[in-house]
Order: sequence, then C-alpha cells, then structure tokens
Amino acid sequence: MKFAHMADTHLGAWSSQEMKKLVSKAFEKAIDRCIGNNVDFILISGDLLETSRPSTGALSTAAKKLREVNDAGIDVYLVPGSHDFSPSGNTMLNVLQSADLIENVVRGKPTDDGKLLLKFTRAREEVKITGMPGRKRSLESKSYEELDREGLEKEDGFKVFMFHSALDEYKPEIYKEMDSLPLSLLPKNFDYYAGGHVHKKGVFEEDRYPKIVFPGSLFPVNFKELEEFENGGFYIVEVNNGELDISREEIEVCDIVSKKFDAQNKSPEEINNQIKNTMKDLDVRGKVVTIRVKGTLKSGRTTELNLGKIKSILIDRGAVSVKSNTRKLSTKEYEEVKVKADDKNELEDKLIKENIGQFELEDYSKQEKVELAKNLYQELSDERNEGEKKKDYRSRVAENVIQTLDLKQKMEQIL
Amino acid sequence: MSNIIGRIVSGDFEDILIRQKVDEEIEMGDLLVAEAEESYSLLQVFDLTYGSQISDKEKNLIAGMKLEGHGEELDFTEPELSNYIIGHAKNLVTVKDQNNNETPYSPKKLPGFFSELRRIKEEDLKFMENQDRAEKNDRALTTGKIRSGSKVLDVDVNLPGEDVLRHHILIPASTGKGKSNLVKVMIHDLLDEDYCGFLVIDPHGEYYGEESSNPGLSDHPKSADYLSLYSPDPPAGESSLIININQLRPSDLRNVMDLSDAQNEAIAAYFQDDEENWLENLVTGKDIKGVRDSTLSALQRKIYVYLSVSKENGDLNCEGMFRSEGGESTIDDILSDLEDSKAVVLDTSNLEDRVELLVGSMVANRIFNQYKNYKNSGDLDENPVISTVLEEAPRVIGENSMIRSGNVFEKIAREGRKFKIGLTAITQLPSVIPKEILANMNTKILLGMEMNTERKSLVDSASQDLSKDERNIASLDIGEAIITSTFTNFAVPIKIPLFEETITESDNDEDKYRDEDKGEEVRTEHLGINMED
Repeated sequence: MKFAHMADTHLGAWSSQEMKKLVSKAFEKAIDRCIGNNVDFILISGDLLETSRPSTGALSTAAKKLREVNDAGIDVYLVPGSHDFSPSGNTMLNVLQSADLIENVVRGKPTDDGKLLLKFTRAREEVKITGMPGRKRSLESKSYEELDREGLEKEDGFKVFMFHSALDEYKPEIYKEMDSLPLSLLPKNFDYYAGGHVHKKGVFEEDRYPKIVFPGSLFPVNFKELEEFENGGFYIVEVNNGELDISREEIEVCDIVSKKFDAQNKSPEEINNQIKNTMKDLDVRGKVVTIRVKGTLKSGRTTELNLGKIKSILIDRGAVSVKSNTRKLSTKEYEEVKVKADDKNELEDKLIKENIGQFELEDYSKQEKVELAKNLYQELSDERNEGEKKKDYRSRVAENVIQTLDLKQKMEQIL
Repeated sequence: MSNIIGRIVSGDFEDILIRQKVDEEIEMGDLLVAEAEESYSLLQVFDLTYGSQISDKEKNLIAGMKLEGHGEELDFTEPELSNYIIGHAKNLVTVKDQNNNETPYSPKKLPGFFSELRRIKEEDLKFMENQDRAEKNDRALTTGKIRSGSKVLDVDVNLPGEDVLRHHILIPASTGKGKSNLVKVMIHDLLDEDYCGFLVIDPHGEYYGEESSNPGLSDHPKSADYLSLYSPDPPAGESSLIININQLRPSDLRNVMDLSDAQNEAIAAYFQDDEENWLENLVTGKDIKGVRDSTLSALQRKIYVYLSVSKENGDLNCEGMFRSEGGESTIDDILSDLEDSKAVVLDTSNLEDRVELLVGSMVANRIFNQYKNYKNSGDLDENPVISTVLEEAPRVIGENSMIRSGNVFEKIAREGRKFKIGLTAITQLPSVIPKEILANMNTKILLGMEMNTERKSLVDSASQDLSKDERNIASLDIGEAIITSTFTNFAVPIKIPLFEETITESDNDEDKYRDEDKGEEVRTEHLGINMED
C-alpha cells in the first residue's frame, strides 16, 4: 500500500497573479507526482484552499486536478484547515465533496456521557482514517478535550489520524508564537499521524505515537516563508507488513533568491546603492526575489528607499515576482516605531496583550480578555466573500460577533 | 475583664512571667492579651515552668511521703495557691486605638505590672484586617489562619502576595511536617490571580495531581486556564517535556558540569564555529582546529551522561528529553505560560538530579534574562511576578550546591526582586544555605524543625527576634507554622489547612460560579465535525 500525504496547499494564496500561479503550479505538480507514483490514496491535512470561499481560479485548479486523480482511481481524504474551515459550514470544500472529488473524514457523534466519538472512514479495505479539523487560534482544542480517546485507541487495524494543528512539542522556532495543542490531546496508538498547519516539514516519533508527520506547505504563503523555506513538498508513504517507509517529494516550481540588507546608520542613498550593486550581477530570470531591509537609517525617510524602482528593474530583467519587506526599518530623523513582531498575527497579538489592561470587563481574566479581543478582531476583519451580498455579509459578521461575545446566551439568561 | 487566665507577676522585656490561673491551661505558643486604657498588648507564650510558694525541701519531703505510702491524705494547704504554672511570654505587638482605627506598633514598653491576661479573641486581630485594607491588599496571599497555641482562630493570615513572592520565601521543615502541603495551598490560593506565576520544579511528582489518591493543583476549578504541566509522560491536554538541543547554550552546560579548562575552551570553540549546531557538531565529532581528540572524547562522554545524546553511525542519537527534532519552542512556551500568570509544573520525577537541575536552570535563566530586558524596556510592570518553587533548595543555593556557584538560582536569590522574580525555597537543611542568601529571604514560614542546628540558623536569620522561640519551633505539629517576615508586624503563628480541605472548598466555589454566571454548563459545539446520530 502506498499513499501520499500533503497539506497546506493554500490554493488562492497571495494577492498577485504571478504568485497565485506558482501556488497552483505547486499543487498541479504534486498531484501529477502522486499519479506518477501510483499511490492508492492521498491525504490532505487541511488548508487545501486559502479561504473557505476562494477565487474561481483557485477553485477551478482544485477541481481540475482532483478530477484527474479521481479518474486515475485515487481517492482523496481531507480534513478542513484553519483557512478553508467555516464556522457556518459555508465552505467550498462541501462543493468538492458533493462532486465526489474529496472525502472529508471528520465525522463524529456524541456519546451518552457527553463525549465526542469520532467515526472511521475506510480507505481501501485495510486502512481506517479519522481526524479533526483545524480552526483559527486552535479553537479545535475544546473538541479534542472531549474526544472519546479510549474508543479510538482500542480500534484495531492500520489507523491514520489526520489533523490540522501545530503541536507544542514540534513547533518550529519560527512559529513559536503560533497557537498549538499538546501532543497528549491526540489519541494514542494510531499508525500514522498526518499533520498539517505547520508550514515546515518534520517527521517525529514518540512512544505510542509512532509517526507524526508534517509535510509542510507545498509553496510558501508569506514573505518569511519564502526566505526560510524556498520551496515545499510532501511525503509518500509505503506500508509493507506494518513497516512504514516515508520518502520526501520536493516540489520546485521556481527558484527563490533572498537578499537581506542592514540599514543601520546608513543613509537611504547608501542602501539604494547597496541594493543596486548586489542585484546588478544577479541572475533573476524566472525567479522570485525577496528583499528585506532592516535597521535604523541615520538620516532621511524610509520612503526614500527606491524599492519600487528596483522592483521594476528586476521585473524587466525577467524576475517572476519581487517581494520586499521593511517592517524592521526605521529612521533616526523620526520617532522610532517599536515593531517587535515579524508577521501580522504576531504584531496583532503583541499589541492586544500590551493594551488589554486598559479595558475593564467584569469576570474576565487578562488571558480571557486577550482571547476575546483577538476573536472579535478576527470576526470584524473578515472580508466580504466573492458574490456575497452586502446585506448577507453584514448579517454574517453580526452573527459571528454575537456568537463570539456570547450575547445570545446572555440575552436568554436576562430574558 | 472576663475570662482571666493569668496575671503578670514579674520578668523583663524579653521574658514576661505570668502566673497561670489554676483552672486554666496555658499552652506553648498561646496568644494572650493585656489590656491598658487606650491600647492592648499581644503576648505570646514561649516557655512554661512550675512555680511554688513552698520550699524545695518541703516539696521533696511531701513527695517522698506520698511515694512511700505515708500520709496518703496529706496535701498542701490551699494547693491552688501554693503551686502553679508560670508562663514565659514575650510582647509581640502593641495595638493602639487611633480614631477608631486599631493600629499596631512595635512594643516599646512593658504591659502594666500585675496586669490581668485573657485569651486572644478574633476581634483583637482586627488590626490585621485594617492593614490589609490600608494596603489595598486585593493581592493577598492567604497561608492559613491565626493560631494561638493549638487553637485556631477564624482569622485569615493575609500577606501582600506580590511583595512576598518577589522577596523570596523560605520554607524550612523536617520531613513530614507539611512543606509540600503548604506550597500547594499557597499556589492553589493564587492560581487564578493575574499578578503572579509559578515555576514549580517538581522532583517528586506531587504538585499536579493526576489521580484522586494524590490531589493536586489540577483539582483547582480554573486549572484549565491557569495550570500547565510539562512531563515526560503527560496526561491528555498537557505537554511533553522535551527540549531541542539547539536551545542549549554553553553556559547551560557550564552551570551543571564540572569542566576542565581544555573542555571549556573546546565548548567555546564549537559555539564560536556554529552557534546553531554547536552541540550536534560536538557530539558527532566535527573537526575543529585546536580541540584535541582526547578532550573531545571526554566531553562527549560527559554530555552523554547529562543529555543522553551520543553519536551512532555518524548521526546524532537522542535517548532522553533532549532531542535533535522537536522541542524547539518548549522553553518559550513555558515562559509564555508564566507571563500569562500560570503555574507551570515541570515534572522531573523521572529525571536524575543533575538533569533536573540543568532543565530548571535553563528555564530560570531565560526568565531572568527576559525580565531583565523587561526592566530595561520599561515593560516590567505589565508582567506578573514569577516565583520559582525549588524543592531541596540547598542543591542549588547551598554551600555544597550541585551546580556551579553563582548559578541562576543564587542570582535570583540575590537580585531577583529587582526584576520581579522570586524563589520559594523548600529545605530540611536551612543551615547549609549561605547567611547572606538566608537574609535575602524576607519571608520564612517555619514548620516543625527538630534539629537544633537548623533551628538556630533560622532564628539567626529571622525578620523578627525569635531568640526565645526555639521551643515553639521545635514543638510545632504538622500543619502548624510561624511566619516571620518583613511584611508582618510580628512573627505570626498560623495553622495551615490541609490541601484536600482547600480543594473541597473550591469545588463548592465552582458550583457557585456555575450557578451565578453561566446557568447550566454549556456543551461544546463541535464546529467543523459532521455529527451523525
């Protein structure tokens, strides 16, 4: 038996068309590789799509390639991830499932004593698969706490547990701020733990958790990942007499060139020249280029860096896309802005934590207030989906906020 | 005055003699009150002796006659007047009534000669509540109730929690006197407070409490939000104690290992060569200029003993909690839990001493450096005070410390209070802790201590004069304690509740929260899971 395990394909990620194409290309290559390797089935551990309602382009890439594997007799099993999950159930994953292109393995039922009993889906005759979805800010942890673990652990046969959560124990240092679950929340005694959500690959082993695998993303979805990971990949797992042989399939869609510049005590002109000189002899044709500038300029404004001009020169020289990052750049001429975070989520998190003390909410601990603020922020920054009417959008956001604030229940209590 | 139990008959400032009323019983440690016009004095009994109006010669004769069967009917004339008990007491505090506000002062004069004494009543201790209010002490740490001898009064002993934790706590006691019970009671009391976090290094696995036979902090109604366990074998919902070897710095190893100069230099050379992978390179034997093979082999053996990390077929082989894969964020997660004012229990019960202390010192070092940075950046006030609970503290802060002198625990003991980091040090042997560190421990909660040398070291370093209290300390039963602290007016005798009783009370609180705030418990809505009937 042979199966493929991938995750975090994020179809529809990035705003620019060039980068979107690379994301699609990575997925197409991965699927082709699965067909070429004659796998029996494919596991996708969450975030197949960038959002629950992605662009039609992303959706059509997904549908087309999933149809191809389907035609090749390969089933695709999946759990929703934090990006393509929808609290209301309104996700395009349902459309793909209705078209028999994927099978969502997250099925369960409540037990008499209030626990959650997960049901198994059979892949071929001999494999039993179940799993849990991922949600933003690890909200899935509550459901994990109520799992009927014993039932799952006692089940015999070759078992696969799919999940879309970072684990405390295996969180890479670059994601140390990421919400995560302890490994102990996962039921023990499965043969293979197919993880997702963490965009860095890793294979781990523990007593009673024989193989915990994170394939990482297929292609980077933000600036930092472009710098750190370059390309992505997935795993092919061969099972012979209960022995697992795991091999890596690297997916290279495009070379990535990353350059970092230290602007400490330099003028904008000096930095502009330094960037130009570095880029002068660089072969950027067909490549994605990242430029990070950090430090405190001794004079001038940060906007005096000609990054726009440098980008267009590089594009003219054949670069596929040029991404720049100046988050850690400041200047002495103006008041220094303290930015201690490296990405948006981390920054939001820190700002909320720093300021939450100013708000008084009875019966809420500091941690609860932070959680509430983060949840509200998330709900209120949700964008209108394609084709969604303004009225529907407004009522959806309002409904989510009411749910977050627990208002319905409080009103019922008052009334 | 009613309920007179004795009268002051002589003595001096340090030793006030009280004649006991015949049908009353004065106990060691009893708290007595001598009232004056606009004040009253609180006295504590530290010794008891016999007193008699009859000469020794006569007493011996009468005793002999009775023993030998002569004059069985013989007795002293008015025996209740002739023979009696003398209590020796010291003046703890003088309480003056100022504008209807009772205020405590250090005693400067003796209570009136021949003053009548009565037992203490709960209202006599109102000044302690007034103090709490004056200090806006909603950050109170409740350790137990006031005790007069073996009698317990319904008056909570509240200490200013943040100050007490920041200025270190020493808990000295002989085995079985209730040290862990006290620490569990204290942490349980503060678990859901946002102003403090605890790092509990738990070598005996007694704080978390997984089983009903061994209750622990996980029995707190809010433990899900305020308690984390890191264990080699965690129960569901808690984290594994694994640490990536890349997290280790040369200083971590130097803290716990005895290294020769050559070995120290070798470690420095590997670190300088590649800060990220220095340990892996060292264990797998990467060639580094200037490091001799013999030095490298000796170092590799030592590292194996401490970390269980070795070379196997050219690759790294990790057998213990130190791993080449995973555990990259464990220390950051612990730090973040502490900054979220949680109690973090490190279950080190399956680790050898030296590994336990290596892990403990790694975490403590990161906290210390982080809080130092907070102080420099002005963010210290935003963060909770963190207390590190250390069992068998002399292992790290004693004269014969198992880890390097000047280690992070000693640093915390000496200067941690500046950075809102304290120690809660537990020990049977306070005498081996250096005097200057003992002096820095501004709150000591003394439980029973039989050994004279140990008692003496405590008396010498106490915040109040305990020179007369050696017998009191020696006679403390399980759960009885004396708090001597710069944050109390006098050495306070207390009774610490049993942890099991504490959690039963908070179980009732939990029901109350549920009734008042939430109505019936709400079942989790398993969003994203296709529920079938």
